[in-house]
Amino acid sequence: MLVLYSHPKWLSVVRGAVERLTETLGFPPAQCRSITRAVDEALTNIVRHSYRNRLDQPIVMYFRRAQRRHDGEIQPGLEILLCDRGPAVDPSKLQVRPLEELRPGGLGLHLIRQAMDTVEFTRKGPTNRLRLVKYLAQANSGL
Amino acid sequence: MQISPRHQDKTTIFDLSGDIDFANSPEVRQSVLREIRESRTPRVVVNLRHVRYIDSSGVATLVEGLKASRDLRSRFILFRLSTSAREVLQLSRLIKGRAAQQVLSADDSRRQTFGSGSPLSRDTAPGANHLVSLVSRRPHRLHLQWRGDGNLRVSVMGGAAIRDD
Repeated sequence: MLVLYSHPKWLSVVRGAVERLTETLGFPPAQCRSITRAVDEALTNIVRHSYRNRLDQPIVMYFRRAQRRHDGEIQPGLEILLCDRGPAVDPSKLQVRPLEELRPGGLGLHLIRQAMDTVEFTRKGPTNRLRLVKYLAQANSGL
Repeated sequence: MQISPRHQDKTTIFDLSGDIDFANSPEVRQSVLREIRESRTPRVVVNLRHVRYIDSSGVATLVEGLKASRDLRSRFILFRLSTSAREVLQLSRLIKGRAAQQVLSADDSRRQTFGSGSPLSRDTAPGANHLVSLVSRRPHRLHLQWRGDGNLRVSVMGGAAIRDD
């Protein structure tokens, strides 16, 4: 578990931790980078949208092993849960925008969905919960 | 993250290094847009060679730079994309997956694009070959052509803001 405040200065710290974690678990380098990017984008979204750039709000991250049955085999994975106490998010605003349109902004969610096998957003009581899961090919598993 | 501007003739080069994320992309944005809009520099180059990480806010900054330069009919060039930068630009579909084909050899890129006295010359080690323009899918069309001398000609049709070397 990792608890931090919603200050952007912690983003690089979390990136470093997630990158080392995914390397240790045996994810290929490109997936280490994409998972790290997804977590970074998710945290940025919490800071920007859920907490509206307030710097002292709590964010709690849980990291745990996951697994699923895939093609007859048990496939290990990494589950990351990000929790914040911002206002409830309108799910309709969690849509990926068309990338054909050249404009700044709106790419974060696309990068998250591209990187992860599972992206689930739920509201539980006063808490927004974003669950991200990435599974690992068995041959590379360090889990 | 560090931003180091260099100026020569009608070109300003921003050497960026480190991580570009939500904490510091506003600083990059301010520097780049000031150069394009206020200084009216005809050619702004962003050197991403030493960028270890760039997030979507950094990409948004580059898109803003491209749009601003297009509005002012100047040129906006990304130079030497790092692995992380290339990945995120490809995922954002700002450059295509075959971006590796949009390359010129270092010596050739120096000569063709920036001249022998280019301020970029110190960054182009032999064998290095990353010179990539930020290309939108629409309305521009990318044209690649191998030339007789073995160099790759990169043309982007449909936008004065995009380089055509």
